[in-house]
Amino acid sequence: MPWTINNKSNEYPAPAISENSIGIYDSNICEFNLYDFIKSNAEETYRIKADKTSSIPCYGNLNGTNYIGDTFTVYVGTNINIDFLIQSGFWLILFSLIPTSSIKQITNIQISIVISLLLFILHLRSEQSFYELNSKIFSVNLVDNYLVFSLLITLCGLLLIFSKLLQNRFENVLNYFPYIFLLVGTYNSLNLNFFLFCFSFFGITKILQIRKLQFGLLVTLLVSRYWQIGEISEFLFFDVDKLKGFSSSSFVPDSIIFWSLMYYFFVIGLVFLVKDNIRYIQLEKLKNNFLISGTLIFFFSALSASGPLQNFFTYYYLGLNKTASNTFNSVSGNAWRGISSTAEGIGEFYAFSLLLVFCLGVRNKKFISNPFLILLIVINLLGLYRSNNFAAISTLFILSGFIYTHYNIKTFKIKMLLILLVIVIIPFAYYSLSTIPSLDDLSRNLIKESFEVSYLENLQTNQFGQTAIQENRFLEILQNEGGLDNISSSLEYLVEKYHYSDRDNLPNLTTVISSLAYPINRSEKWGIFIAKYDPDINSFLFGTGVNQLSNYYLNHPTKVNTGLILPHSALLSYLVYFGLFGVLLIVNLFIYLYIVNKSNTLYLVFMTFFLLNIIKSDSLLYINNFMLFIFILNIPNLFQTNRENLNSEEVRKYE
Amino acid sequence: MRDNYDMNSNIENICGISEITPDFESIASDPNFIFQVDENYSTIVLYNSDGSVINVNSWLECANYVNGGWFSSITDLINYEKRLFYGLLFISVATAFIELNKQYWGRKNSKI
Repeated sequence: MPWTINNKSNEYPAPAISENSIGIYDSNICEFNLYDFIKSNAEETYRIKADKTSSIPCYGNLNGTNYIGDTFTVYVGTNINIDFLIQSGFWLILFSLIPTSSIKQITNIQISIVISLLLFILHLRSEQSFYELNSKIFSVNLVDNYLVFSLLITLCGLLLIFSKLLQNRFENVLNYFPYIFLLVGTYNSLNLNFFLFCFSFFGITKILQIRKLQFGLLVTLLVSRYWQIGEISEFLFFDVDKLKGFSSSSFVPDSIIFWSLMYYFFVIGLVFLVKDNIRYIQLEKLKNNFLISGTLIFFFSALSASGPLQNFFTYYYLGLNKTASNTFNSVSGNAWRGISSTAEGIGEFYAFSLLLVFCLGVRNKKFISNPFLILLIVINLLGLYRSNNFAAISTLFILSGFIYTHYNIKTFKIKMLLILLVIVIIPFAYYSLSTIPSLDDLSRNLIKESFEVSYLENLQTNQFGQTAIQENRFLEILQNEGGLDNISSSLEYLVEKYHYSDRDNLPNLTTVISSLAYPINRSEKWGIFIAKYDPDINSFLFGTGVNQLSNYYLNHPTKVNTGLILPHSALLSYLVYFGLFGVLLIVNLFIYLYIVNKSNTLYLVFMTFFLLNIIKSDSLLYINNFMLFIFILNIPNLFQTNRENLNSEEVRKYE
Repeated sequence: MRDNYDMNSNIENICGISEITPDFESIASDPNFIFQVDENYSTIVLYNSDGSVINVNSWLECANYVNGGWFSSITDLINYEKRLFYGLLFISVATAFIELNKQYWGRKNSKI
């Protein structure tokens, strides 16, 4: 509907797009609506992009065209207020499709909405530059600012309706959790996500209700205050690109406090949603929804690649962080991400869905015979294959093998033999199939990659034209580079570790990281991270703030400062966020969870799957993968508590 | 640079294309400057944010006013955000009223 309305009735039909007619579109801005354009250009080739800065009357109308490199690009007007209204409304309608359950009363709704509104104002103020790029009339001055007033009233309505919908279907929500990968929920012109605000709102209601969570809030405020004090440089704008909705676009005190609070509220909201609901999760339904969601993702990915209109609509209505792939071809012959922002992330989703299906099948000794489900599994396998996530595929196979052995082979000796076989075969196969450099080269790989992207000018060359980097004389570079301004503190540290470590037959830190990075194809990416990561001792120990990548990315310029090149490891991203101290705390939490759940095999397998994958991927920076991870972490008792804990009446009701 | 491009495109959109290169600064600095009527130019009505209306009779006159922030469409005078806000406010108040009414009658009926 919104794409067919045009209040400036144009007497002429939209012309077919060509080099000759492009002028007509450019001189008749907002005169033709998208529907008219599509009708007249069914046979033409073009791309559709959103022009986020349009006025309200121009929403859904053509706001400009471009002709670059044989491709026409058509800009369709979108507006921050209308986007917020339409996208929220659409997603609330989809949320309402979850079947109702018995009513769960959510308390403190009003005060939680007020807190959410205040947080929203803080967000708009802290990310002013982002919003100025997305609206020509955006201002943080609240006097007569109807743009902000409209956003606030929409948010208020959104949270009220969400709370009502959630209350009525609380016990069913988690069974439909896998659909967060289909419906991502990121707003077109806001650096926010539907689920982020809704579940944070739920988190706020819980915090107001439970006293010990208020202590956590106090700690969050204190830590964010520390980050604000430690902040030296301010960055008013950082292009969040595919992280839109779950990463700060500025590095200023207000954004540090906003994202710290949102992260805390969001995690609490998710954790309590899972904890309050775990006994109502129906594993069969959850498993099927994982498969259906994966199939729908593949379907919509294929649909988006089939035409520009489909591509634009999937982006807009599914709330994608960035537009879907517009071809079926893989990126550089590598991975196909489809509607997902990240091939790695969607690969992990597919692999987890299949792992869940396999594990439940093995445990229950009940394999799928339904042809429909077999078809879904095949499509999910296809999705996994196209995502080309080797780590996810290999962990899926190894862990599936482990589960099969665990449940089907009773003899301890054979079990151990098989495990040892895998432990020996994998490195052996790897060494036989790929070219492994010598140990010395392996140790130097990471440093070399880091130096390659650091701004080092006027490096002297020898008679063969080789620089000190190529000759592996790294320490010499440190000594020659006057103030070391162009070399990050982490690179400097690793070079010194490499050269000055004791020769005690133990590998030094640089060698360990470098040798680990090589076989998992992370030498280049982690090398870039080392070149860019330039913390002082405080930010190394305690980080620079949750969802704050701008300081890491912009504070120390390197040769790769265009495009969003992420650390490619959740461990490294969280090192930027929380520092070494925070990472150690998180690692401790995982160790604790492993020890406490040591007899819960399926839980350990799922956790291992995620932990192995996030070491080499950025998926935790994306909201849906993050939500899935939190979900998995909080279901240790799922396989024990599901049906057994329900009384007979409840079982009847939920079946 | 971008603003300049936007303004030029705005002038083109409203006033049409012309080969004249206007010198807006000299026009603005000359209080006695008179715009010559171009008989071949069809009169265009322009508005400003105060709601004032003016008819322009030449391309240069039109470009000068558009450069000064005048626009051709009356719809540009409307503060759509304000309208949207009041629309949303009305819907919210009406919904709240209906909800409260429902609750009130629900309670009353349950007492009976």
